[in-house]
Amino acid sequence: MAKRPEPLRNQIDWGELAPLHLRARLVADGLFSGAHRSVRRGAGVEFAGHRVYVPGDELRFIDVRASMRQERVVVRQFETETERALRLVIDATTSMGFRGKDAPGAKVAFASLLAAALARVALASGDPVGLDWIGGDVTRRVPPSARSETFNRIVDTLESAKTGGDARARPDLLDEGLGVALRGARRGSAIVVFSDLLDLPDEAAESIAALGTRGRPLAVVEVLDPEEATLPYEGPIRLRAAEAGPNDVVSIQTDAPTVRAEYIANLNARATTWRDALSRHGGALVRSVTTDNPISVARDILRAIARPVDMEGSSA
Amino acid sequence: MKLLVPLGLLVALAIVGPLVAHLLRRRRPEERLFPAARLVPTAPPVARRRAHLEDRWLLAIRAIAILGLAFLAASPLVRCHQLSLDRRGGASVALALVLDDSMSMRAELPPGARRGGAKTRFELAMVAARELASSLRSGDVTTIVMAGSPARVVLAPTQEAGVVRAAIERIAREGAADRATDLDGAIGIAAAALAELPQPDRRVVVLSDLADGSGSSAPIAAPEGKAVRVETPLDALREPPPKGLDDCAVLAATPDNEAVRVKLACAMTNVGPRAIEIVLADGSTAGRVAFPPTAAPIFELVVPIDASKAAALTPEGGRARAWAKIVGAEDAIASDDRAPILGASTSPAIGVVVAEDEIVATGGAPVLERALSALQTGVPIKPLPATPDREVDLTGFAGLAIDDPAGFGPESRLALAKWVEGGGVLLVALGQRSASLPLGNAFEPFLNRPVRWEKVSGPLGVDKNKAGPLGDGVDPPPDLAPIGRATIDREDEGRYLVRAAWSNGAPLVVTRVSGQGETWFVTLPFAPDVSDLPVKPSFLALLDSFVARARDRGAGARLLVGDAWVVGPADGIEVVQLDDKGAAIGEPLPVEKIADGKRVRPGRVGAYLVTITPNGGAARKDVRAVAPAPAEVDLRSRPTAPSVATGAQSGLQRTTTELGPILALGLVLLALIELAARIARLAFGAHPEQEGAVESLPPPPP
Repeated sequence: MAKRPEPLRNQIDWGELAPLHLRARLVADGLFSGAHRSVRRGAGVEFAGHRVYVPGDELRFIDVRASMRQERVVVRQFETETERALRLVIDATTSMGFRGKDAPGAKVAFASLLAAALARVALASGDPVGLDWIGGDVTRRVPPSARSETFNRIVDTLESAKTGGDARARPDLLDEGLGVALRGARRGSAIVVFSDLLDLPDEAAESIAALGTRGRPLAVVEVLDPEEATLPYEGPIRLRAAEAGPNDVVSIQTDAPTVRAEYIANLNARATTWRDALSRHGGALVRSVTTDNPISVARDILRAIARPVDMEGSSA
Repeated sequence: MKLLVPLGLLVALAIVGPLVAHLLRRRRPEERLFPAARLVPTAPPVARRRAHLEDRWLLAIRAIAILGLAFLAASPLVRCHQLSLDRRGGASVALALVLDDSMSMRAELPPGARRGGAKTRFELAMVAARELASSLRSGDVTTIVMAGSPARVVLAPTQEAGVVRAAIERIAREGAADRATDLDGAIGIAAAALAELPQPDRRVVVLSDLADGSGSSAPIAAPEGKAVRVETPLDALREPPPKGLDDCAVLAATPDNEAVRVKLACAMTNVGPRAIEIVLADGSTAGRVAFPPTAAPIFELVVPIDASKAAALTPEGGRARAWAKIVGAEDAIASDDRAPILGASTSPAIGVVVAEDEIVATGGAPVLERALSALQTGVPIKPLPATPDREVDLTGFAGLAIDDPAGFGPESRLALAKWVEGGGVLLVALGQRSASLPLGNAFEPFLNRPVRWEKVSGPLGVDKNKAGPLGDGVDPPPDLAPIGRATIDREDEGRYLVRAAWSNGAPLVVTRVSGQGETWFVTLPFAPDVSDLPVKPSFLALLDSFVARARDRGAGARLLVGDAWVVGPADGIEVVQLDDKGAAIGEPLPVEKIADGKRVRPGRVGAYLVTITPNGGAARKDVRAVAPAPAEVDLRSRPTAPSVATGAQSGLQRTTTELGPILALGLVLLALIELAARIARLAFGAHPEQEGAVESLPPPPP
């Protein structure tokens, strides 16, 4: 990969996670060589209706209840050529630009690496991949495409992005990002949202969980910095939030060792809230820290969006 | 230490700066970007408290640095002074250090006079002695003389500076004693030691408070004809103790039936709430009497005690069982505020023996007996027909005055010798009969050589500078007109201390310690038809001093500090100091060998167990007390004559050490420490990456 111009490289604190092209391929190769199950489950994944049984049909597709209602043997039909698009949504608001002392890169860089790796996996399977943003500056949307140059387009877009915007102060940033994903995602499309979940509006959990309807596998990837995960500071300190709504406290004064346990409990309680909201719509929460092995995290994401789809079209 | 420009210290006001900065920092700790801030609980009180604790070291470093700057601002004005010998043309010096180890040197220094960690006068004298010793050079000769009574040489003249320093350290370790002061004697000894040395620059440096209890008596002067300079460089030693404290001391405490007679010396006009308490070994108080509102310099208090406890006063089993203590308020010297209760339960008497013809001549009681009675000392005066020749006949006498005896018979000599060894005080006036002894009589063992009698044609004067007990409170008679006087042999004179002398130097009153008692000889008889001494006030002064001595010794119960217990060369003696509970304090005191025996000279007041083993006899153990010298409670300094250089007028240099460079180096060091601390903080404590991330983030939208 050609070296990016310095100003662009400064937009995201990539740290050890750059260059994204190479890193994403390494992560994707790790996924291929591991216990990988493609997002494509093969023919018959999407239910397409009933028809009268004819000899030669597989007996496991006979719909017993429908046959009793119609008083004839019918079998379930599936859309064997249904599109299995992967829709990636990255939170690029200001808080995602944070990088702590021991982190390999900013949170948005880690999210970009995971997104690029997933894109490569999906494209290798022939599935179209699209990229959308929540907030951020100089963020371009990449429409779903399975063409060969899509990977490079996604990587270029990721590398040229800038964090920015305050989702607490401007809830429309979330609506804009999710609206595009909702409108563009067809039934069966897998949606993966990368965010720190810290500075999103209060109704974000329900809004994002709603993406999981209509048979769309949904995974929300929580990306935290190690400092956010552990609050490792010593002594008295003032902490300033990256984003703040009209009624939010911008800065607090505290004593880190004293409140550490309570903070981590708050963090876990918030994750539980998200997990509950997502599970009601068939989605899943994947928690990660930027120091985690990206291959393992990507594998968890694939596992989350590859769960079987029931007849009602929701993830089990 | 002296500040040439004290205004430079105003820079120290800048210490307010870091203090304010730290207070401000305490209010607002470091701020960090933290996206999850909304989930972090607040804890402001703990934060403020911890910020205060963490910054304390930094605040201390900065405050010290600013104080250093303040001193530098006055530079080169910060100097440390120390004494050193100045030299005329670089010539070597003959130095005699007169170190005062008397009890008054135990007094505390006022805070402004303290130097080199010294808190008492004696410690300050030791600091100065060390400084002078450190300035000795090759060729200098040094001797050390102690001014605590008796004045004595502790280091003969030597050129070895190391030996001098070792001697000073040994003296410092021993500390000040409770002795009286003999400044004149010490200066005389020091001048005599320097007189024969070849160095042209001979100096006697007196490190003393000059408080010898003589108050406003004759000023201290350099010895005439000795070609030595006398210097007293330490004015600080002569400053009064802090809080204006004076001293009171318990001189003696003697049981008297159902009471205790306590003799005290006080140098204060207002004794305040002080009182005397009789404390028994079990800690209980047997009696208490408050001081009179206005106390005489020396006075006596009778403390009634519970009859049931009277038996518990006397020593038993080699330990004192009761103590008299001054309570109620502190004074300048604490060590002399208590004394063990010792002595006979009845007041010992003074026996008087005079010749029969004298009684006939005067037609009544002899003049000696009359004079003793006239003193009204409270001590019973008992005339004796002849010198007792049995030891048992001397029991109950603290003193015995004998006028012009014709020697002593063999039995009397033996009985008197044992009585004196046991603590009696014998006063013998030598006259014409003493010079013509009958066969078998002698003065041995008190005088080994015969006494001579010589007629006197003209008046004789008493040396006013060596009047001793004859000049105690009165003017010594300048023109006595006796018809004759006795002379003792030179050999015997050498064994005695000449307390008073004729104007031609011949001894008039000589004394000698023997065992636990004393022997006094006067070379004039007390018969008024032979000498006019009995009609002079000095006669009463002499007798008063004798009675006081006899009573103070309490028939051997007590010794004045600085005096010695003396035994014969074949006898054994061991003396060990006792604490309140009768346990031995340290090792037995050293035994000195002298020409005619051995002696032990205690330097501290208190109770002692004295074990004397006569040659071939059984050991005798007695609890004895060592009492302070009454004059030592007077902490006022004697004046000095113009021949004595004092303070800055003395020829000793004050070498100075500029502290400016040292302070500058210290400041640089402090700056390096803070720099290192900051680097360490950046390397291990702060988060530069995070700070960089904060700066790279775009500003939040409006």
